[in-house]
Amino acid sequence: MTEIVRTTTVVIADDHPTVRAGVRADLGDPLRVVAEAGDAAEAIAAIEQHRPDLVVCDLRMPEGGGLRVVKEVASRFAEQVKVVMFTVSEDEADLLEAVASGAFGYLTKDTPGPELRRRLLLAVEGEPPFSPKLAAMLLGEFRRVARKETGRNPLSEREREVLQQVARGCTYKQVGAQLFISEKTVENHVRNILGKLHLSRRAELIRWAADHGI
Amino acid sequence: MERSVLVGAAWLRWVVLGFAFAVTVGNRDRIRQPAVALALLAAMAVWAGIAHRLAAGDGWRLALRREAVAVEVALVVALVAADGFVLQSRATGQHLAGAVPIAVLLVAGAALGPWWAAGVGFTLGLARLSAEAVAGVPVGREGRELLASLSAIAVWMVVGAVTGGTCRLLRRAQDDLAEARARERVAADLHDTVLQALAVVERRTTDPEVAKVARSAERDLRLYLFGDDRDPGTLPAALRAAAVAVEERWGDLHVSVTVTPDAEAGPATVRAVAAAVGEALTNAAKHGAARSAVVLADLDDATNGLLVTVRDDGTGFDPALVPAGHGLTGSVHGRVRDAGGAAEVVTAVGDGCEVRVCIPHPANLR
Repeated sequence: MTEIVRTTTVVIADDHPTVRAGVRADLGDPLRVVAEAGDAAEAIAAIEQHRPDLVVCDLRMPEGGGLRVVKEVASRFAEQVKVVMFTVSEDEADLLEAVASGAFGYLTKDTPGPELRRRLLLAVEGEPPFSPKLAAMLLGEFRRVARKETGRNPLSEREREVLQQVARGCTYKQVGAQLFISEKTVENHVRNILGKLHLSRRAELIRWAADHGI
Repeated sequence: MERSVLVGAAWLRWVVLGFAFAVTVGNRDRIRQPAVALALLAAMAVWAGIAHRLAAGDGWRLALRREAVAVEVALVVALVAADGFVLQSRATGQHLAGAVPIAVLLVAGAALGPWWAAGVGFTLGLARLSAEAVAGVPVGREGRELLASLSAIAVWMVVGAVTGGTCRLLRRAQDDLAEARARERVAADLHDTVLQALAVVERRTTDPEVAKVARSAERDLRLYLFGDDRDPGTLPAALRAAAVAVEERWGDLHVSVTVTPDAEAGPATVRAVAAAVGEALTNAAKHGAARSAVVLADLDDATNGLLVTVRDDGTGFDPALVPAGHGLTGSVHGRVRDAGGAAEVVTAVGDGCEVRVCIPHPANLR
């Protein structure tokens, strides 16, 4: 039986040519780079033109940064184009904002080449690239939402457990083993958590707009 | 900031001098030495002009020099002391100097700081008392006049001290702000160049030594630019310091530290937890041959206290085979128990090790 490997199209957006060249060199079949962009405006134009499966997108770029790319993609190509943030550090203030605005996940720039490739392939399959730090940020964010907005944590008990385990440094596989669920189920939980984050963020924005008479 | 005080004092001087002139002219019949009074006020007016020009011009810093302040203090002391010679006792209830001392106190506060400014206030007060002693006080009003003079001394000292203190605070805030701005600019620059370059080196190199050097340089730079580690008393700073110490000792271990905003810890808890985390990380590197470890400090949903976990990817061990009193037991359990919490170790051979430290509320705030 022949396995048909579908080519995955990728746009790389980073204002540093060296970084773009490095990522391009690390990818290779079946990840095909269809365009490179040096700022947010170029990235959005390239995404419009190519409708790639994946965008590897720097957070800090001219013309509005990665955040603008994420927001644009979320409002126009949601579900079709996955934006993976590619940042220098996971401490960056707007990383959570980017993920909340619809980024599919993120990777730090010190991720070794083979690992970068592996995580991007997994992202295509639907597994969000994630880190303990981001999981911890999300835990804090949902608590904030619970305290401020509804008084109820939007996460289910199970989702919170998953997030806590990831924040402690467990791999999806280890989380699955500890909670007696499959790795795939853990991935599903993570995707749902991200979905809830987008929803709660959107609800918060709408409420904010209503409160301020916009 | 000092400049605004100087300009404010300059305008204030004109107002109070105008008032002093009006009082003097209005009471000219009762003044013993109108020429002296007017000469003093004229000298003060000349000084007000000089000081105003200084404050408004580029050389405004000159107005903050001790010499400049000394000139004005001398003039005002003369003015206050002259009360006794030129005004005919207290019949008018007015003073030649009026509110002129307030302006010099503002300037002294900005230029010399709270203590010296309070000293200037005290000196002016002494001048007033001596003026009173020379001029004499109407019979039957001695007590009231003395009280008025004493309260004038107190008010002048307070005005000087408060102005000086406020200026000092504002100056500090201004310096902090300037430093923060400079740091921000440098941070943005270095972020776009050096940090990116280091990250690329780290990512592209196959030489573990080069990667290590790049990582350590990146970490140092990042700490300097964005670190909350400048305040060693906080939980994130203490945990990061513990992690860095272990990373430096055991080169192969890479530690990631995360503290959620809900994690709360008082000073005693910070000390105990940081020591326990350092111990757990050392064990991970030494006995578990771990390559990476994740430290998380978070709100413990169950107890509302602090939950700190240290998870490594090392070899793990069989808890049943590790003798009590060895490694973890003393250092981790002991410290945590002293801080009012409990530690737990979850591990299995081949599956890393997780140390969980929980300090329940309210012990975590100690």
